[in-house]
Amino acid sequence: MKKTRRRYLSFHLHSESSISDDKQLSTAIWKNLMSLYGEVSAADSKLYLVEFDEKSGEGILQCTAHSLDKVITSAVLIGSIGKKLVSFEPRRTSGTIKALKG
Amino acid sequence: MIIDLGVCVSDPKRLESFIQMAQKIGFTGFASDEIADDSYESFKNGVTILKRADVSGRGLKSIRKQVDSVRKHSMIVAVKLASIEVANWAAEDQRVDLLTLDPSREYRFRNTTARLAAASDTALEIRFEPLLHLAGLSRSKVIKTYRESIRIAVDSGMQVVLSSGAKHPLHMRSSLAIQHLGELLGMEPEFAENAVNQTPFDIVERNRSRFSSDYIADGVEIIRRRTDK
Repeated sequence: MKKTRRRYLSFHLHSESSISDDKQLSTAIWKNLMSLYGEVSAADSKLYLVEFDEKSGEGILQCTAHSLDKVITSAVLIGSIGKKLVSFEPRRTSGTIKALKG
Repeated sequence: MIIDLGVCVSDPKRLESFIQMAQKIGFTGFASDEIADDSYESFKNGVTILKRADVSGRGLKSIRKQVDSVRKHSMIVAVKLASIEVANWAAEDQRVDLLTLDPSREYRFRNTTARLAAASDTALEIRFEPLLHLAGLSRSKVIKTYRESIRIAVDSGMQVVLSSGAKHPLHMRSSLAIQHLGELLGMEPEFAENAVNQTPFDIVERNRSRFSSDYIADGVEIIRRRTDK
């Protein structure tokens, strides 16, 4: 089986107040991914929230290289999480976490 | 210079929070229709704020009157697409910068309008704010309207501008984020990049030169006056 290439995306989540639960963020991206591109694309994306700092709003997402654009679009379209308005800002993409942090 | 041409600062007290958000996400300027300032361009905390006039109405007479009165005082003049008569007139009139597509109205953007607009450098404005709070079928319908209109504009050689339509600072998105939304709406990556970065800048630069005292008409300007040495 051919190995799928992973991509890492660093982002900043701007919000009115901090998002206390990082699961809320990954669920919101999943929901948009499913709604826009369907269940198969969402499953194939292998989306995973690697890290998220609730205070600063900065974090790193992991997904397959093939689904990177779809994941970014889905995240950008999140208008609110719970009742808090948010604005997702994609920053850098890389094949390794080390390069993102460096 | 990255400019968001469609920000709606409904409350002037909130202007500061829009400026802060623009700085955070890398915008150097934005245009808004609710600017109390008389000048068509102002500069606050490192961000350029441009005066924008949104013209709407069904009758051509009323639209003409509004454009006549706002053009000299606004950096950006946008006409909401409402009827074929208004759309075709606005597309041809060089004083109009943007034709704003309102997805809530039952108006279909036509090839003929797009060709007229392409000839007079009028751009189609797509605001992504409705996509942020809609979901499911209603969002799908807006995406359909936007995709169809963008395809018609691109096929006719018309410029497209992607703007936020933000009524709250957190409705604004960074340039890279908007480019991805452009691709969702059927644009090629390079075209999407231009729709966010280059086309809005070109429109503002064109209007700045029109506001200059040396401007006579498109392509005609005073190079040197008799009194100049």
